[in-house]
Order: sequence, then C-alpha cells, then structure tokens
Amino acid sequence: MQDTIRKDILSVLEQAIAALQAEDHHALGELSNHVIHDASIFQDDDSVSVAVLVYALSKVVQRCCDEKLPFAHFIPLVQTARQLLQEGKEDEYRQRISTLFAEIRKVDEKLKLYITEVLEKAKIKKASKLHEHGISLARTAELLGISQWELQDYIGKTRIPDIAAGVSARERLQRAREWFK
Amino acid sequence: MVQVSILLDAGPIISLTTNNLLWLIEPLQKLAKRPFAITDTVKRELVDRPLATKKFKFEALQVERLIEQTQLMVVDKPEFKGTALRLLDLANNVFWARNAPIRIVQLGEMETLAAAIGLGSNKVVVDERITRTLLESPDQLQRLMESRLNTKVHTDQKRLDDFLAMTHHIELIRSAELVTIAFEKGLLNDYLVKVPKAKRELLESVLWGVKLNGCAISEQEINELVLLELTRQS
Repeated sequence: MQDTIRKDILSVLEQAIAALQAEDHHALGELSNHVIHDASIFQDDDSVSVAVLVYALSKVVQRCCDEKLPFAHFIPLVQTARQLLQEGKEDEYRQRISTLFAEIRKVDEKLKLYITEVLEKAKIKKASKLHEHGISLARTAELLGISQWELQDYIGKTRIPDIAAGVSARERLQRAREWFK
Repeated sequence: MVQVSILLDAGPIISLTTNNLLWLIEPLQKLAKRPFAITDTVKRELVDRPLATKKFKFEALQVERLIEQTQLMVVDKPEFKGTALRLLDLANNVFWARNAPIRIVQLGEMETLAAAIGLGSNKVVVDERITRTLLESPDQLQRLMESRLNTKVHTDQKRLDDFLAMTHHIELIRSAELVTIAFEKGLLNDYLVKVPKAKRELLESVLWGVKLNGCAISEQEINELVLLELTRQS
C-alpha cells in the first residue's frame, strides 16, 4: 500500500471512530467521500473498499439509531483495523476490513435492512462519485464490480450528466442528420 | 469483409432498452444503410453479465434477441485488440495527479473505438461523457478532474496527441440524437396522441427518457434539441 493511501485511510478510520462514538451517521456518510479522491487517482482496492465500508456503516448506524439498537461493537473492530494498518500489518488489516463487512451483513438479521442491498447501493453510490470525478462509467463499474446497467440507471437520476461538454447539441444533431439522411 | 458500421458502446443500448426503444435499431440502420455493431466485450456487459444475475435479465434477453436477428452485429476480431490496448494505454496515461496516472477508461470502451478504426468507420455512439470529452475536449476533462479532485492534474501532451492522432476522425453522437432522428423521420409517430402540443411532448418524453436512464445530456441541450426540431418542422 502506498504511503499516501495508508495515511489517508488512517485519517478516515480515526474520524470514523469519532463519528461512531458520537453516533453521527451524517459525518460518516460525508467521510466516505474523503477517500474518493484517492480512489479516483490510485484506484486501489483499499481506498475503494474503505469508501464503501464507511458509507455502508453510515446507513447501518442511522438505522440502529432510529430503532434504538446498539452498534457500539463496530467501534473496537474499526479501532483494531486502524491499529493494524498503523503497525504496517496490511494483510491483517484487510482481513479485519472483511470482518467488518461480515459484521455489517449480520446486522441484517436484526434490522431486516436487506444489507446486501445496502452494500450494493453503497457501491453504486461510490461508483457514481468516481464517475463524477472524471472516471468513465465502464471503468468505475469495473472498479466497484457492479454492472453498467445498474450504474447507468443510478447516474441518470443525478445531476452528474448535466454538464455539456465538447461538441454543441446543434452540431451533434447536424452530424446525426448526415448519418441518417 | 465486414461492412463499414456504426459502432455502439454499451450506454446507448442500455438507454434505448430501458426506454422500450430498442426496436428503433432496425429502422435506424435501414435509414443509415449500414449495420449497427457492438464489440464482443460490450456484448458480454449487455447480455452475458445480466443473464448471470436477476436484475436486468429481461433487458439482456431483448439485446440478445436483436443480436440473434442479426440487427445488431457483434464484432470479435482479435486483430483489433492491439489497437484497443494501445488506446487504453495512451488514454490511461494522459492525466496525472500526485505522481500517478489516472486510469480514466476501460478496455471495452477503447475496443469500440478500435473496432471503428479497424473497420474504417468514423461513426460511434457513446452516451457517457468521459470518453466523449476525452476525444472532443480533453482540456475540459482535465479542468473537471482538477476541480473535483482538488489537486493539480497534469496532462501528458505527447500521449494525448498520440491518442487524438488515432481517433481524430471519429465522430460521436448519443442515444439522444438517435431518438431525435427517429422523431424527425416519423418513426415515433404512433406515439402522437391527443394531448396539447403532442409533438413537443413526444420529443421531450424520449429525450428525458434516455437522459434519466444514463445518456449524458444536459437539460439545456434537451431544450435546444426540442427547439431545433420543432422550428424545423413548423
């Protein structure tokens, strides 16, 4: 793992712990965007998985708060992950991140949250962010392991495609008329 | 020898299918007098992948049906692979941030361009904006990334020039233009119903339909297309 990425992930995990302790799911949701810059540039599994994890955590915590259910058990798991990464034990860190995803899935049994769907939505949400940062739709779908059908369906309902670029609409229509005359 | 075709990326097929407008492919290619084609990789994304899951399975079957009816050709030519890999390598090393190249595109997208080059075609339909902006306005893409990533993005001009030298002849349109042409040619006339401003409503409905299903077109561009079409018809 590159040093820049490691430092950024450590910072995000530290802030995630603080947000979990403060029961602040808004902060968690916002935090997941912080690693998107790294994910866009380096496109490494670690940045991408932390972005998805923190976003999914924000959704789970929000639901736990609504239902008055405990979620404190996530805190030591995130703390350990952070500790392992700080000590340079990258393989163990990644195992701990996998454990966290598994723990999130377990919450489904209590909350009927359809966690698989939450995780899928987290992936789509983060993929749309990558696309917004200048990565093509197909590349972001590939990075997050989701289908272009799903990603295109989601992105179409956002403001992301609202920036006109390159050739004007008039010129492009003229071009199409030439093709189909 | 394969005829010179109009190449389609996955995006336009997705936009048309999810709007129940995939049937337009047949009359449009008759108008163009040339076949519509997709690459093998695009076919895998459009058909094989969703068929292995539960979501978008029926949409995948509709695309497969079109392929089986030979209304949509599948280009699978190993000799185009080299060009696709060259384009991929160039495109993914044009923009750099924090001493790292930003991999902005995927092999499948470059295979569509490579197929167009290999088949001697200059006609490609792409709905997503990044590939389009890279070809048509790379400076704008560099500025977009710089502002979004909040960091300096450096352009490798040599690689960009090499990329554009290979692709400069390619013209891009979107599914938005396909449905506008379909409207213009009367292919959608069955949907002219008894509502006020029926023509305007129809054109707006299909343009917003493809936009909301992923065609990168701004609201301003939709308004412009509607105005251009209705002015032409009046």
